[in-house]
Amino acid sequence: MSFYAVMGAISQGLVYSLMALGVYLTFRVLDFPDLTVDGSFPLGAAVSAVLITHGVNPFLVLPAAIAAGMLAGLVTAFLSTKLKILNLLASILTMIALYSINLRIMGKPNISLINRATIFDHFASFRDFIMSQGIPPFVMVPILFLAVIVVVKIVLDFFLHTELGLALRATGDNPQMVQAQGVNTHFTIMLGVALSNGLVALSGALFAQNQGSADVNMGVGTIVAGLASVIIGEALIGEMTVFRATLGVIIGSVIYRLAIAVALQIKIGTLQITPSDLKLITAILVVFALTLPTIRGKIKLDVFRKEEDRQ
Amino acid sequence: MIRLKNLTKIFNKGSVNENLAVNRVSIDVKRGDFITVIGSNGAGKSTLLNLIAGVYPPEIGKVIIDGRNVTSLKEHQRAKFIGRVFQDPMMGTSGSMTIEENFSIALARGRRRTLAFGVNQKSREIFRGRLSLLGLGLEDRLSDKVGLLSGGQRQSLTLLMATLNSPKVLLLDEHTAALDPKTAKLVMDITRRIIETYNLTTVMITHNMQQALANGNRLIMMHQGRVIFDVKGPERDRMTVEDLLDHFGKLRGSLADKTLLSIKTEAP
Ligand SMILES: Nc1ncnc2c1ncn2[C@@H]1O[C@H](COP(=O)(O)OP(=O)(O)OP(=O)(O)O)[C@@H](O)[C@H]1O
Ligand SMILES: [Mg+2]
Repeated sequence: MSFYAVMGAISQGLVYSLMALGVYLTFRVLDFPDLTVDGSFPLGAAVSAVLITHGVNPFLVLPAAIAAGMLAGLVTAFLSTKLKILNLLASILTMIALYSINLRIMGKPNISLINRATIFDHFASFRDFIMSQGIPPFVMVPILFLAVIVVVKIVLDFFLHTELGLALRATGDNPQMVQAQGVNTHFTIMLGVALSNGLVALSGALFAQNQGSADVNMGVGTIVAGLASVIIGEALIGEMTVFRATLGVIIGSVIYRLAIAVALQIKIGTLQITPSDLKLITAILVVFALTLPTIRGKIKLDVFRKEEDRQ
Repeated sequence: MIRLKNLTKIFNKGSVNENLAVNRVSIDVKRGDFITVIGSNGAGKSTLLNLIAGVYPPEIGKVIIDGRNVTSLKEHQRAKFIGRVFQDPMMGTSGSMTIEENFSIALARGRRRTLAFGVNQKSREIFRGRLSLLGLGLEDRLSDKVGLLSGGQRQSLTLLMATLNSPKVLLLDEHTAALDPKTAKLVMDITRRIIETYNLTTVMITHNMQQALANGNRLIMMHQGRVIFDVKGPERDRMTVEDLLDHFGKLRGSLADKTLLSIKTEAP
């Protein structure tokens, strides 16, 4: 594999790790299996692409994408808490609805950002500096993404240790207890699911700017990649503290993308693994992780297992 | 301190499973009262406590705490006035979080939660001070996960958390029933100490008649959703477990029911 390909995979892993952190927030912290992700990822991309083609500053586009994602998360949380629809189903409903909404936002299935100024064009001097050091220019993208991830991780770690963050974490672990302690769990669930999808949409927005296009179908299977990253992170780094758990998610996401890049080189006889096989491979990987509950002592991703198998 | 007026709870109303769990119960609890509640399985004791805590609304009746009608307030809104300990030691704490984080959640009860650090040097001092009251050595384990603690330790922790902000009412629902006899005694001792120290108005459900007589200043017996016996003062202090059983038998007019009131020894 070339250095270029490795850097590409790392870039992807980093930008997708924002999405994976969102998945960690819902699945792990809140114990809320949220599939909205498959819709909020392209939502972030769609908002980003449309605003950029309308001449909006590519940086200002990012908060708009985050807000759109948070709104999508709020809808899911509202369906689940206020309308009492099972959380998994509520998220599937939002995800499906978002497909139509994303098409409406974009007006067509695909928007190209070629020849449009993205955030990366604002770092031309940084690129020049990198090149002056004898480093290839494409290394700039993973460096920028890394900076974003570090900031997001620090803010998220901090938040999960604030009074509000503690209430949110306890909501996922023991809703009965937090209610007895005066926490409105409807509020903490809404906050958590909204934040999660805000991160996912930001991930989608950055991904679209890096890739130079937004596509209405780009969200398919996002959630499975997110779960895979969370699981890899837990197996490698552990989940004893929030700091380690979020670090694990980021590293898990990068490893996942690197593994995929390697898998794409594999050729068994005449059978060549293609990008279209990846969803199957990822699904198998997640199934494997789900049925191996003893990886590193305990993996508690049992929300998808049948009720009678739990405990 | 607490006034229950004509409180009535009907589960599955209108269906074949309609169940009158609490039936027109009126109780006046005075400030500083320590009431023990006994009664057969399904008598409606837990339902009564849940009605006070606001887990669900009553079909009829009112709950008034310290002069304020809280009947329409949700559980989390009433939590400000109420400390609770459940039967299941796992229920009152978050096992995946540390002792100090659990405490911090309790410390913010009754006020808006902020974006300030939940645990800081000042709150740690408070937690340490409280934990040292237990004599379990937990004050040196603030950053341990609560999931690592024993049932008795967790229950003691829940007690401290429930009483951290001096609630107007402490509700205990068979909070020692799931513990082994030795630990149960320890937790009960701690309970008594905390109630005395902070002079807390308390309602405690128990299946152990010995425990019901040994604690508190008033005893209430429930059966089929109703209060069938209510005794306090010297009359209560003179009572023995035998008297209670006799009384229950008389009230029910049947000796068979005695078994229903027998002391529960096994953990549920
Ligand atoms: N959430 C609920 N939904 C439907 N029925 C309920 C519910 N909670 C309690 N009940 C029913 O209400 C009645 C009273 O139950 P409750 O739990 O208050 O009894 P209890 O006196 O606490 O009994 P125990 O000593 O066994 O704990 C029972 O018949 C019970 O089946
Ligand atoms: Mg009960």
